[in-house]
Amino acid sequence: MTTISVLPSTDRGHAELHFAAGVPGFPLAKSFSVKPWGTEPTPFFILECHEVVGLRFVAVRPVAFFSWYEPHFGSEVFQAVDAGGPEDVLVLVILTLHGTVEKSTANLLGPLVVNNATGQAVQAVLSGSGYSPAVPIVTRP
Amino acid sequence: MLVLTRHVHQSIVIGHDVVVTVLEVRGDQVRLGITAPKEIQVHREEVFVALTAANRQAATSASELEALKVLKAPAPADEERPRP
Repeated sequence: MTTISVLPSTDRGHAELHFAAGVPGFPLAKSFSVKPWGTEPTPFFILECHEVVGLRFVAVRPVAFFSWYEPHFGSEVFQAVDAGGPEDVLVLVILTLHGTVEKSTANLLGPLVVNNATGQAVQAVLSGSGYSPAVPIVTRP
Repeated sequence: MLVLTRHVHQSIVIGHDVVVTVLEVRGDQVRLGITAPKEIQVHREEVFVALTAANRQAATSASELEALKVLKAPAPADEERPRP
């Protein structure tokens, strides 16, 4: 089983995401190709922007590192991607890699919400949730 | 900066299709209702600033994928491997 199968495939063999509003910091970044990274099955995805040359994000399915993560989205988030509810979307979080895995963090405040069927996507904001935009992905004693 | 005075339940229109309505004024807090098309996301400013910073940092670090190579494969893959 590969995690990519829940994203809409294209004839180029990978998935496409469409952010109608762009993403904060990159207003022109509206469409991204999504490719799994690493040995399958992998929770990691590389998001590569079509409009902004060289713009890439590394994203991960949050359950891989944060089993306790329970984002609750308002109806406006589902409306933004034309989804009916939580069962229609995939959630990814963006990683910031600081050279080593111990220093790398995930943005749990602003998860990406993707319509499974269409690839429409939005970076949601979990205001008031207490989630941080920079949570370490591993903790070592 | 354009400065407009509005009463409760009055609105302003930004562009053709963004409408901001004053819903309630209580002390030093103002509740606003905003309708905007999908291509326009509405954020509290401090959250937008935080997300912008996080996204920019994430984008400049995306080439450091080597950092992730030390991670073990997820559990299902481990189970399929023969145990020593």
